Amino acid sequence: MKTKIKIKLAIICFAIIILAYLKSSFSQNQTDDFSTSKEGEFILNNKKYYLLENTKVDFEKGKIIFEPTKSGILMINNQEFNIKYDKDNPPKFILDKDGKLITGTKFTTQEGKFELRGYILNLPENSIVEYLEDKIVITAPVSSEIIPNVEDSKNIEGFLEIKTKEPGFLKIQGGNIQALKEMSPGKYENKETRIFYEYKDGKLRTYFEDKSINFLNDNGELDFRIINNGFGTNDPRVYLVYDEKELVSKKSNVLIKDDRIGSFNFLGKGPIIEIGNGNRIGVGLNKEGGNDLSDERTLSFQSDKGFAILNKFGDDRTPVLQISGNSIYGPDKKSFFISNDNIRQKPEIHHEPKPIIEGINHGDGTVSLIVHPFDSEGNRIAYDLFVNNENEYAIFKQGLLDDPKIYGFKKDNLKEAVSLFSSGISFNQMSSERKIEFLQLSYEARKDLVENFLKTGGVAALEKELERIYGPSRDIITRASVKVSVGSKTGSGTLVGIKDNKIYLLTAAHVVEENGKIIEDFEVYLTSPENKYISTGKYKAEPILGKVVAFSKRQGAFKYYKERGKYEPNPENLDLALLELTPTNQQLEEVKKRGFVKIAPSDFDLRVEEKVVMIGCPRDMFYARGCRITSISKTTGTNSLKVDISPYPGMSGGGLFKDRYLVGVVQSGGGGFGNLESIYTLLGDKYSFLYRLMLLIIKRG
Amino acid sequence: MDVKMIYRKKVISPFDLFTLNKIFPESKRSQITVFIVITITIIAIVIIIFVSNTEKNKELEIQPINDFVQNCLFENGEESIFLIGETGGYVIPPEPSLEQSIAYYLHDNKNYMPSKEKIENEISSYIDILLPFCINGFENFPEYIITENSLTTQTRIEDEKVVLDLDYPLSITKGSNTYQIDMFSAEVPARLGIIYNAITEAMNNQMERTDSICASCLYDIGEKYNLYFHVLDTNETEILLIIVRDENSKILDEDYKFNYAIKLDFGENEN
Repeated sequence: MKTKIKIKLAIICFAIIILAYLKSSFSQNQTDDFSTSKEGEFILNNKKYYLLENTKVDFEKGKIIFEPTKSGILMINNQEFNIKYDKDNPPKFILDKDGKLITGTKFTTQEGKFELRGYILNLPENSIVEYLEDKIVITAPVSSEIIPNVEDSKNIEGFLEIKTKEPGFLKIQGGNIQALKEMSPGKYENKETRIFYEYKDGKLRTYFEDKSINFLNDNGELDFRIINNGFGTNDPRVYLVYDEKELVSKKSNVLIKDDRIGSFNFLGKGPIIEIGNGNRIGVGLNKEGGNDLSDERTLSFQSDKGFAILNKFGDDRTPVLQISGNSIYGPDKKSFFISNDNIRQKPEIHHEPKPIIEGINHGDGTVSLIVHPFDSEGNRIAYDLFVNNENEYAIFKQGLLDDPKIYGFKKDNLKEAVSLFSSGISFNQMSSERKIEFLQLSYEARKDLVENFLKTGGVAALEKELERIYGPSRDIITRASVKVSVGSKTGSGTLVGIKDNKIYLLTAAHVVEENGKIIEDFEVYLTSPENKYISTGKYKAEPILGKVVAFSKRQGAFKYYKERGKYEPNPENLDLALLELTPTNQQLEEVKKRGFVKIAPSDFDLRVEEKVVMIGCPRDMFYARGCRITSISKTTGTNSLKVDISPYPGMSGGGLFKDRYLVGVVQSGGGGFGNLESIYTLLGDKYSFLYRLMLLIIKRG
Repeated sequence: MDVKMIYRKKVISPFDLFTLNKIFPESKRSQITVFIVITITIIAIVIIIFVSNTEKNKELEIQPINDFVQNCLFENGEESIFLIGETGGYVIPPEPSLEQSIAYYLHDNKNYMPSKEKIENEISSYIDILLPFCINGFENFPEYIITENSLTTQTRIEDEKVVLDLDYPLSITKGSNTYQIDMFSAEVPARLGIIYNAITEAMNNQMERTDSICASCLYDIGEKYNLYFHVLDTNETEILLIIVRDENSKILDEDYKFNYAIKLDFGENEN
């Protein structure tokens, strides 16, 4: 009996040992944690798994956790996971009671194909996969190419986020994308790239949520940049689509094809696209084979209640931008957009001379492009907008310039253009001061300058010549030109010096003379181009009072000298007057700030045909006119120097200037001036301090 | 013997007799009446011829003066039209104006485009001021003694031309003859009226929206009036210079240009 019992117990023990062994090896429906002693299949909670050797298996509140301790392939739910053991990031697979991988699952990959919640994708080695509640995050090495696929939509759960471990790009369909962070308005730096894939409504969609991403070509050059103006809002997604049919309605989309890049948003403002010098469309190509797009020459566009699509139309044609709705085309620092809100109820092309598109760099230059505008119904508007690489824009009737050269139209082709917008034409490139000078030249002088300088040497040559005509110190000669008011009469004068707080002003005698008599009291108004309405309105200023200290009136040019019994030139015929002004302290300071004009030395080289400028104050305004000397007398007298144009009434007494020097005083409407000899005669020794200092300066160089 | 009879006898043919009988009826009284009528007619013809010759002589004598003033009027007219084109319709642009002496037509959201009458007055005042410089006291005509009265110009801007009427009474003496001319007239073939209408239309559009310029509107207006609109930037972003160019009006040997400036209002959202 004892022996039988012993045998039975031995059998039971053996059976227990066998069962225990079987349980540990294949089908452990128990909840005790264990580690696998070798690689192989395990059945846990009625599900089969293929686990690696030394995998720690934990059971925790209905969940099963696998923690492999070596690299290799394991299989969960009939899916292979080719993992790499990384001690810094040890793998962990967490399964719910149904055997699905859930939040907390994390592993590093070997290169291979993976199916992650229904998304099938090839992952490179060292990608880190993390399961979160609603998404799987894959952190991949920089420059990885990860393009997911869906074979059976039933398995799809949540979405994928693919990002780089460090700042760098990812290869996706359509190109290489690089996410950016905005360091300051319009300035970006590379950051970790993130791209999202979601399967919805039977379609796999790609989007990003960052403020900005770059698309780079295979040479690492910028193809285009997308600025996400929904960044920071409730819906920061910008969908990247590769076919017009895949557009996500009511959302921001960017269309990326080999020959088209487009921004779409039919409800509001869509993504901004800034084109780079490595663009696929061929915008900005130059004859040398390079690309002109740079920080200086920029091109951007943005959809607004419509689309903005940049198209390549072959290698030998200018690219075309199609825009609709209120979409904006932003070459350089200007903007063109379509407006439908007008009383004519007709789509119009509007121009705003400032950048409307925000958050990008706007250069000063443009590249050749044709813009085809469309109305909100998608119909072509009758006009085309053209821009060339010389910063010129033109509106044409549709079809008038059907096949322009890729490098842009020339001005000669613009005959049919009715509206030309330009930041590049000569007038515009000139400084404000030079523009004034140019406009104030006589027509002949302007024509001469355009023919001889602008057409041959461009704006720089023209400006240089203007500087030569007007002199480098034009500011001084304009500031020193003042208005002289005597009773109801007005004339002009030039401030020529200061001594003992008295200011000296040179003018024509007839300005301070009435009915043959010198007027004792007169008023002098400081005037200037900036302050031309000085005697009226808000600019009204207090006059400076003065008296005449040297005077030679206008009279007969010849005088009969009894003693010699003949007529000789009359030295008392200068028509010049020197005024001494007594300013208040405040006025004195202002005059000192303005400075004084230097009277040219008596041997100043002044010739017929030379260009000079007259300045005076006709009516209530400041006026300067360029002119040419037609004659100079070597003797003194009224009208001893003549020019080819007439001063306006009120300019009498004003100055005639060559370079920075005063060379004459306006005397008559017929273009007559008092010459330097006359001025020196008037000043004599008594007022030689007005020219001696200048002579000294000249002698000292 | 009556001379007439001899005349009749010797010279007059039967045909003439028939005619004369008709002219000189039998009655002596009638004959005298006819005689008087013929005499008056002859005198009248002589006077007309004399007066006509005198007028012709007069015209010939003062023709150079007339031509000279006329020419000055035309030249000044051309110059003034050129100048007002440069400045936006003014001889001296008012406030607000660009520093380049070009008047703003849009500034502070207000339309400052001058009326056609204002531009006409500006042209007139330019000529009134500058014509004397061209006339220069008739220094080129020393053989004439010319007494001038003050001059006044009336300008009328029409679609295809600008008509200048100068009221400038002159008393011209040459030798013993004195003549009087009061009015001169010149027409400058500039399509200023058309340009004015085009800009008026452009400004009406402009006032609807003052933050941008409607490029396609300018195209349409340009096409309608056969003009070219050019839009130029300035150093200040919101200020644009508009040049309206007319190939069909040549002033001072080049396409006529009419400039004006607009200052757009970008509102509070300006960058």
